Amino acid sequence: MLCVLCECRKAMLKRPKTLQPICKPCFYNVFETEIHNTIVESNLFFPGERVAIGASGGKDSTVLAHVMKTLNERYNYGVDFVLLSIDEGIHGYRDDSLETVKRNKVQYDMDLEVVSYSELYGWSMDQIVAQIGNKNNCTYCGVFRRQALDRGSAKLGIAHIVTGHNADDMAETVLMNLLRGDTARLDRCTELVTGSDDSPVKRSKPLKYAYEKEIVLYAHYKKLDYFSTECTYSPEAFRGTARTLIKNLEAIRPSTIIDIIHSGEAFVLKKKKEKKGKGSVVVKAKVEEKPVPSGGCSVPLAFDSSLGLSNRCTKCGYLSHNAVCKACVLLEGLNAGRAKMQIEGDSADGAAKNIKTLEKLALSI
Amino acid sequence: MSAESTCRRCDGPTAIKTRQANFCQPCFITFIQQKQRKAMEGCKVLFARPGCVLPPAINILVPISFGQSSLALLDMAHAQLEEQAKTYENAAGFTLNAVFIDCSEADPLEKEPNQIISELEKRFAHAKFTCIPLSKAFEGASSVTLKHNRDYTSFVSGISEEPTSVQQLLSCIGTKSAREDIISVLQRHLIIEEAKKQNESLPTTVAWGHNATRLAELTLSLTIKGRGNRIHAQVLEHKNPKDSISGLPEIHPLNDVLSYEIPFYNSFRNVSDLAVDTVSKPSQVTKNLSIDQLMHQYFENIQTNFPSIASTVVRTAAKLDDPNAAKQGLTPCLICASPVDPNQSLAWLTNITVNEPAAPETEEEEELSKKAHMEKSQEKTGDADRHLPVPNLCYGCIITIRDTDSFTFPKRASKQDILDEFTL
Repeated sequence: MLCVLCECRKAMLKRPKTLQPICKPCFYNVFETEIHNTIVESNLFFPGERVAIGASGGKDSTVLAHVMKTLNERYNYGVDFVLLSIDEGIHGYRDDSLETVKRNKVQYDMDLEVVSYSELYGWSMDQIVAQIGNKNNCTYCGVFRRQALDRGSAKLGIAHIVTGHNADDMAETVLMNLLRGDTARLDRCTELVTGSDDSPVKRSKPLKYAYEKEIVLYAHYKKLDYFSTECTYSPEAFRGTARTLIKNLEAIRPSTIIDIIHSGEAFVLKKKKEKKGKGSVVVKAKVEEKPVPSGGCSVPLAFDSSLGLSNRCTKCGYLSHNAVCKACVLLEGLNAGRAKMQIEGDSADGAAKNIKTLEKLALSI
Repeated sequence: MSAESTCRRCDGPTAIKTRQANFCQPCFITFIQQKQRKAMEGCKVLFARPGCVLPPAINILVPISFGQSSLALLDMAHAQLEEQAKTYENAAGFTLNAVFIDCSEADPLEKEPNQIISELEKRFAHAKFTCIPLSKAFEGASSVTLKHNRDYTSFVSGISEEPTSVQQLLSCIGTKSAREDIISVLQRHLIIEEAKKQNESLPTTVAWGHNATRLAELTLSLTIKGRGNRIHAQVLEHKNPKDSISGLPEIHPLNDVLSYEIPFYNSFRNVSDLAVDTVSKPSQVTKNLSIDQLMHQYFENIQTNFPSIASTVVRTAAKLDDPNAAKQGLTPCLICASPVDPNQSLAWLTNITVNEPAAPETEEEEELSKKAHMEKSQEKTGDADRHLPVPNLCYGCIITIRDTDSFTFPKRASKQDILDEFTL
């Protein structure tokens, strides 16, 4: 069978988004061009910009790094990409995936910065899980990661992070926001660039229209070096139902994923009267960022509580609407229980490591 | 009897346990009926002066499907009329019109529609029943045939004065989801047309029988079909006709009643046996379900673990505004008539679903590519219908017609069309 696009090469795969039988070169072409269109459409980058790629070593961020490098060279974006990794301290998961990122650093010839939870907060995720159990640990990890990414980019003097969120993630978020009634995020969750009212760093998702299955295919055919294990501290059950729902819908109608994103982009919230308060905070944050116009790039301000700026955490200086930021609140709770923990011994290996060891045992039998 | 097993309100025997409370039969009926009465506040008996009753000033149109939910709403509205007649000597605060869109040609029911309606007429003597066949949507309308290209663009391949038929329309639709989507577009159109007709003699409010769970399903399936911009029009209540796209007030009296509560209500009121199902049942294989059927299944399953989920979705949807409210220059979609920003959806789609091939690499590939190109350009010149207009389609309809080979649809002359044609 010939590829339906070029009609001159043998079709090698059925494109997940459209089910068209196409050849590999055409697949690479459409996949990369769609990402390029997303970038150009919204003027995502400017020449000379330094941009951090949030790299976990997983398929999404590896494909992101590869495609960004390819497009940067092909279309002369003039962007300087840097890899930024967060080490949550999950043995048997993150240590292995970080090795992948280190190889990617060499493969893509990019700088790499690793920020670790234990360095930043004095707690690794394994230690946190050992203390609080298997419930809510995604909350800790999420809050800490957000701040760690910001601090990592502040250290590098970078004001823009690109992340590997794909179309499936976007569609899942739209449905989750509807199901959970999260109106605050409902109309903003599909935006390509997320605002900076609670973070000085701009975040964007160039893969927001790329299907997860296509990312897998791309990584497979391009023989990219990535690490494929899900985090062993599994996510909440409710999100799981939304994920299954999306997979089922995709089987019924492949375009469903972008259809959901299209709907999400059309969501407009009714105007609220209380919005005034929120608006003023946004203005404040923007004003504070302004006085760094050098080279057109606004470098994030250092997070230092001694600067005595308003809307900063009094403890760590991170941006916060409250006196103390969420991460510091969580940390305080953790530190209160630390004494008990240390008696148990020095081994801080978490469940992920134990499972891995058990898996190996089973294999060797 | 222990306190746990008696009705919260009257200490009678518990007949249903819901919303973390026990209800006896009469109290549950009152509890549900009060929700409907509140939604239909404007339906009270009017007096010119004490003792002198005025004729009804409002018409309530209840679209019925013979399903449990619309049957329950019909019963509630009818019970209200019965009570009014009893209290004020044959007075009525409103007229009650039940409208059934007969889709049995597409989706047969377990009983003949006429038979069901005569049974309903016996049970609900104060209501009037209208049965409109789905084919009415095709009457007097010329038909337009649409075809889609490999990318998301489509073109009109023919316009005929001859109306198309339900069978002809459905025969060209390839998937269950698209079929369901098109039928619901036609159904809604016919209901609103009928309501507008009735509105000419008496101000009419459309009272939809959707329960909270059904509305949540509708919210999600509209989102999934790329019709997120229609949630405002179809899921929200519009008591003020100015907010409503149809131009008529539309209410959802059961938007606070959960799907599993409805069968209890119907059985307590002895109307359950009047509900009729369609002959075809949803497939057991997930892949063979339609989008609506999958959503129905999803909510039925998740409701047991997360009982508040349906009302959360309905409350969230209620916060959405009409995304087209501030936009100018919108034209109605050829198929579903919802306002569209021409080319916007198409541009969005073609930007993120590229159909451009990679360049040929070898000489052999070059040859083949040239040949294919030649064949294509010949085909194009052979296609005489190229001069016909490009259809204006909304995103949801662009996606739906991709599930068809060629799609013949009744072209409805809008008021504007007629004005454009005949104004000098």
